[in-house]
Amino acid sequence: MANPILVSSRRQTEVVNVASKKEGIVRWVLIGMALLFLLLFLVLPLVIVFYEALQDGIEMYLASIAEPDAQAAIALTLLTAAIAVPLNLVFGVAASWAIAKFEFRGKNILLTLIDLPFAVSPVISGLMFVLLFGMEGMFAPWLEAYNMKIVFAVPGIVLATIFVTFPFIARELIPLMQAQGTEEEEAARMLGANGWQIFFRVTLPNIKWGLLYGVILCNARAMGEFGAVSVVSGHIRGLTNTMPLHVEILYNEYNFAAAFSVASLLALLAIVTLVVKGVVEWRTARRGH
Amino acid sequence: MKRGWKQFSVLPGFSISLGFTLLYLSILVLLPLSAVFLKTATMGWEAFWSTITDQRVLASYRLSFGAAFAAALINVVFGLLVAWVLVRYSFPGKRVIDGLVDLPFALPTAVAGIALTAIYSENGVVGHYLQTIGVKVAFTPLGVIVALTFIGLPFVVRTVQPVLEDVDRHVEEAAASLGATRWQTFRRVILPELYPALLTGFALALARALGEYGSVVFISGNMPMYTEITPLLIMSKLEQFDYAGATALAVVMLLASFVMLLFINIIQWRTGHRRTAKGG
Amino acid sequence: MSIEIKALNKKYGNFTALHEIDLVIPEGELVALLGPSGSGKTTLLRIIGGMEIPDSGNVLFGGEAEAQRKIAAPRIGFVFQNYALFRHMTVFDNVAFGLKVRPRRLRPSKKEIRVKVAELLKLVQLEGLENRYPDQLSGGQRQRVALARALAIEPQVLLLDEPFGALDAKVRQELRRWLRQLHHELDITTIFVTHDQEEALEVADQVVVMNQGKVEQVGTPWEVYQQPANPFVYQFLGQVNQVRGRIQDGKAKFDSLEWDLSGYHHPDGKECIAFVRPHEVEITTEPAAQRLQARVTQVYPVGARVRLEVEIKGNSVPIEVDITEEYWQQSGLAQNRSVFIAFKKPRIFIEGSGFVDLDISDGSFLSENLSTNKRVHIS
Repeated sequence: MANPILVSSRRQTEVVNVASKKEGIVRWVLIGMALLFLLLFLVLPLVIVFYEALQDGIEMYLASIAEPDAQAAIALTLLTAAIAVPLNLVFGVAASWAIAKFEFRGKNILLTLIDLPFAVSPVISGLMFVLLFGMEGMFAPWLEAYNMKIVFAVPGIVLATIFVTFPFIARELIPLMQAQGTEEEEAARMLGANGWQIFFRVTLPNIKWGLLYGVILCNARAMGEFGAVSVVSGHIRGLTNTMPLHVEILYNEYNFAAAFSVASLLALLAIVTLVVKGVVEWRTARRGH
Repeated sequence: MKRGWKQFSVLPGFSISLGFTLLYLSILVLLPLSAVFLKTATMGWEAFWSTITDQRVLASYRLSFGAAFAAALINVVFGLLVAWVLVRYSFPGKRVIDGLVDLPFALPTAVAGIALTAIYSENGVVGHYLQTIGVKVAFTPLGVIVALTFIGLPFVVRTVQPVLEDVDRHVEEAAASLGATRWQTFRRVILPELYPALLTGFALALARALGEYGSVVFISGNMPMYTEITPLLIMSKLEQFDYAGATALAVVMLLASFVMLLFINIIQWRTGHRRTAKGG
Repeated sequence: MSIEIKALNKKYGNFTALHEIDLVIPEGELVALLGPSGSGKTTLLRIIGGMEIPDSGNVLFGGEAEAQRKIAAPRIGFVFQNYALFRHMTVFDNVAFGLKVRPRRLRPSKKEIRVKVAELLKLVQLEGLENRYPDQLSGGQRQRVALARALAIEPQVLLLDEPFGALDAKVRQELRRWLRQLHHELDITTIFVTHDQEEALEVADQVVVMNQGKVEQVGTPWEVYQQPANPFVYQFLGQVNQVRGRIQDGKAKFDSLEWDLSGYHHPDGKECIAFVRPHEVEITTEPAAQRLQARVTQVYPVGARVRLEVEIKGNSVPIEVDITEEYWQQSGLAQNRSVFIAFKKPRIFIEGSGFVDLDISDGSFLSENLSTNKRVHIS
């Protein structure tokens, strides 16, 4: 009598073999579909930016970037980021310290408030500041008295950018600090450290990669903000145009190569951001945290 | 002692950090938001109503919401696919692709806008192929959907990935040993676990797409009653100094955003609940 | 530094973590807070350490009264359950931390710190590992770093939260002995929390047995094991057999067993429980006077000893008997054998009155004699 166990196990192996062959096909079909989708929606746009930028040759490319209005736009973009990112950094650290290291009621409301800019259209973000500081705004008389201009000037751009990008660092740090818990900080306290010592010696080294990524991302969003800044800036060439706005102007003038040239700088920034993210993830995985 | 409201902790710095946080939020978020609602209040109900129910405006709602919904749906399907492929399979270049998923997050919307237009316009790389089969993408609602799909892409992928990574392989093996086919295992065992994440990702993508401006205005062509999204209408009204009108529309959009935020929070709260009940 | 705990209460919502705790810890003692999870021992430790605030009551150090206490004084060394080492710092930096964060005027020089850290590492037997990171150390090594770090600040009180919980049995044993010796050398008032009764008995000078937020008994390891104050302590420390019964006609009756309680005045009808430890049960295969007949139902050889479960006729709960391996080899005891047992040192716990120690000098007890119903008094 044939050994029933051997027979069935062979059949099982056969079944498994057929299954895995089918599985192999399914696998590659799925991978193919996913890659096609990503190619169409992600890779292509990225590639096209550089392709169009270099359409008229590298000299035109460099000239578009060196052009005075473009230079002014780049300068304004850098200035805006230089103000917005540090401020949002302080906010991010403060908010995540309060939220991650302490237990109190109302945390959910706080978290929702921090998430708010994500749910609000950028145009509305800009609109809010126009309503506050614009010609008919709530603070208009006060501003006129001191001859300060916020909307249609640099301060307005900075404010709108701060609003739209302040969640990024906080949202990066909060889950990170929550996952790390409070024991190390408590231990430091028991050993006699004061608040600043605890933060700089114990907490900061543990969050440094997440912090780096948060700052880089916040920076990328700050430099690339379009909708909100568009509302607030007044589009005055050479004065209140950031890089994204400059791109828009060039594009609307059908000056495509120039538009894409400036855009390519922003695309490069995006790529750097993604690379930093990859490095951060690799580093945190390696540490085994 | 603030008992009941806050738990005691030996760690210092609570008051100062919370205080600063609240200050920042009040100035930056609460104050500007209240400006919107205050301004609307001065408008008077009738004026408000007629503004937000104007034909052109209604058309923009239909487009904004419809396109956002469609884009979010596409992202659910393909986002799940991408997440699956990234978590389950290995293939050359996987790490690069995984990193690339975040591109819509990092790339400025205006850059995305002009790039997508370049691709899908009549003489664009993809656009001219589609034209031969009679499909027009740029300057049609379809273009809007394409742009919004790009914007929402990371949301579903990034919410589903961690959940998919956590799926217990042993449970799948158990199902297989009980005779389930791969598809059955997927449909009955894995997919139900993913529903909350898919729902959250959908809602996030939808919320993001509703208010999107930069990536849409280039590809849409902004034709009234046809490819005009609500944020653009707000923009136009502002350019004409019709602050009241712009604000009225903003209120409608804000209310929609708040509803979405509430919805997302409820999902997260309920799934958090369910997770603790399962002991996981 | 001595510690006095007065009327400490702590609730978390509806859950009472600590209820009216009164405790005195003499200077230089090594005290174990022993109890099951939820007994409140960790809460008590954390309140002593200042990491939590009680709802009412006081913790007084060195005889003083304090209402609001800062962490800085008195100096308390705390060793966390999971060590809480600073993961991105070397062993050296971890241990030196408490010294480096001192305010400028109290801070030792770099050289002094180096010397001190070297001393401490030598004390905990981790010389040569200064430049390692926590994730490169074994559990036992991390534990010792945590201890060295706490000792660096020269604490007046040392608190340890389940110090050996996460370690392998062998490492645990070694570290236990080592801790005892260390305490002997350093002479710091030390309190540690544990749920492992063997650990508490082996290491501590005094054991505080806790349960559901209350202190059940305070005593030396010998006292809490040999003279438990109540059934909980009896059960928690070591194994014990319990036989339930009632007082009738001045005798403690347990199904077919009886003890005469003449000389003790106890009202009839009261519930009583007889406690006897498994190794205090004599068991033989030969019948003898004043022995109870039973049957072996299970045999579990465990290393150097053998555990037997025996059933006494008329008693529903099996009795556990613990004998040496040597005896087991000699006696020929096996499953289903008929045997005869005697209780060497039973203690009878009477509801509402506490324990009655019965002096059974000849090792016999009142036996059941179904046919004659004769009763033999205990001498």
